[in-house]
Amino acid sequence: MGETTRALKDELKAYARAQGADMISVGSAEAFDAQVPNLQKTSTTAAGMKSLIVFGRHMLTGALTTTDVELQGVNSHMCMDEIDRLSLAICDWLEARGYVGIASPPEAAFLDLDPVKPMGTLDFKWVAEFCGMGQAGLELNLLTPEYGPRQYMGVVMTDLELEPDPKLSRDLCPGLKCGRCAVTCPTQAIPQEAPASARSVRDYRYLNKRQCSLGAQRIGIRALHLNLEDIIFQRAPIDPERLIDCRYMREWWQSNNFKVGSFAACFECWYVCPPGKDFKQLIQVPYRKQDIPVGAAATIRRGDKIAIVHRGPNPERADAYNRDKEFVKAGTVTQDKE
Amino acid sequence: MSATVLDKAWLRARARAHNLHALGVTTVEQLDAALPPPLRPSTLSSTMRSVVVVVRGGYRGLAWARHVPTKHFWAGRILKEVDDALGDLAADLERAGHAALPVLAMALDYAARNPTDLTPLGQGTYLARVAAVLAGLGTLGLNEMLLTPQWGPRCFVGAVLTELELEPDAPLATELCPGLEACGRCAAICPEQAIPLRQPAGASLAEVRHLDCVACARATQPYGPATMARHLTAALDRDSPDERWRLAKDLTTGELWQQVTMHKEGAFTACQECAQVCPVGADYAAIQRSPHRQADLPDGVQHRRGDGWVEVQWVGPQWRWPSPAPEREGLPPLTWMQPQR
Repeated sequence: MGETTRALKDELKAYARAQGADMISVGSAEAFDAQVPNLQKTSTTAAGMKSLIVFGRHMLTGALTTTDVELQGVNSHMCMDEIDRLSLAICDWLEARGYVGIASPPEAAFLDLDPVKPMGTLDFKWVAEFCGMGQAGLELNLLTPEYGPRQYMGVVMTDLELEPDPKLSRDLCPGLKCGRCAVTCPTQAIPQEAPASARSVRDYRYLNKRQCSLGAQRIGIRALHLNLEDIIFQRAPIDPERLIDCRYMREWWQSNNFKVGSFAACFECWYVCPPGKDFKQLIQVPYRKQDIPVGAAATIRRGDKIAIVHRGPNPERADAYNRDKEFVKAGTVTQDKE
Repeated sequence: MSATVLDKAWLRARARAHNLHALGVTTVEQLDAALPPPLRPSTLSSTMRSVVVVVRGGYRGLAWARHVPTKHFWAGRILKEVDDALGDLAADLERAGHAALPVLAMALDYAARNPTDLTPLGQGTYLARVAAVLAGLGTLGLNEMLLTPQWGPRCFVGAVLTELELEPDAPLATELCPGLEACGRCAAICPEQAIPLRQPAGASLAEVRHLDCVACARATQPYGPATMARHLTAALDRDSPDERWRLAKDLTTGELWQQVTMHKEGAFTACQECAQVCPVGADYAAIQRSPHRQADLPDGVQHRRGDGWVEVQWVGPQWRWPSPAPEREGLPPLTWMQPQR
């Protein structure tokens, strides 16, 4: 790569940071596509793309100090709105210089790629790891040196050939030698044991997405389906007034209008993850210290495996997740009024 | 309000600051005369004199890409940014002492307008498109989209009404659209055949220009309000719980939920086929470098001539999303989803 291309990359990064990106990295689109086993590759969106530009914007540390999870949810969606804006701003920058810029939609799950498993056109965490912006951790969140898992990402593909950034040379996530995310996960979606012989978290990192969605998308489409199923088949005697005038219905309205609860609605694994320069500040908050009290998370040995003991979130929030049947329960005539 | 002297150069600078790429002016009086009664600006406010029309150019990257839902998503987000920018421009006018009303694409007053107003593509309201023509920013194409010299139809358009009296710009002297007989690419590719496919030989563009808005909405608003109404009606009409459940859990329910919750404005921007193949616009040569665009209409457009008529041979798009468009057989037409122009 020539000096001109290098200068262009520096200029792009400076622009993105000035627009509000906290981090940005670049990789080769062709090399990325070559290692992706499914359709989540650049060529699904467009042929002729040469580079991938991935960037992140951190979730406000202040938003993670609050006890109000709904307020956190609104903040997370504000952060994602900024990702939308930044995506288009980077496209503007590229197109003003004669290149093509195509942003990958950050918050859409497309059914045309696989009608059974809705997915984005790119899996941003793998793009980010490939481009050296961070590393996917035990729970498959992207961890960065700056903010651990506490950021949202955007990706823009372009026909401009940019020099790829180097990959991170070390693991940011210690895996089950730490395991705090697995200890606290309210729906047990994160691995709780792994072979003791594993050399890196990369050998066993995993997320049970269906389980995760019970918390992170608790007022989303799946919960709607499950509730509709019970109502349609009249599996319980329903009082329409109770059904409609319940907390779940109010929160469902909110989730449709403001996305709160529909996705990005559980932050438990973010609260407790030690990587990131922001964690020192976060863990000073008394309320956050209670998430996993000192001594409550430890790695143990089980034969040829290492493991953690699941504890779940702060008991105050025990009822906040897995609300699949709450709507129907609220409407059944056997229930007491709210 | 205390009035500040301002001119179109000031307005253009403000528009550029809000990422709007072109600006023109017409009068409320002229626009009233050009629109059917329900769509006239004077029905929105009786005190406004001028219409400030703005255009935001589209991204060449979106026209380049193949993945239809990606285009659909981002076009919705851009439409939202344009609406936001109209608000910012109106605020600038008010800070300068002149009352201003942004005419927002998403403000669908179902008593007076319906979602067909945003066909095709969600480019902007029909009011804004006609205002743009009067203000000299472009001309209407065969498909009733605004075509501009810079971006052809690959742009979004919006309008701000203001009580400030501004000198109107002059319309362009000639049509930008070559029409059905000389081109017809938009008609040949339209998935719903919503754009005229035949015309009397020699007829002028003004005589032929038309869009079957309801048909267009099936492709460009596949999970919009009309589909929601049809889908719910179909589910409620079913007698058996099994049938109701089948409809409740099918992909249409999931997509409708996703449109309402996440795509928002994108519910009106799903199909961009006609815009992608339009040869008008300085950006077209760059877009044609895309292998996906080169594969559109691979044999060009075939015209059949005879008996005083010219007919374009329909080809259709390479990809269709969703495929097929969600339809609910046997349901009567929606009375509120009717053409208004």
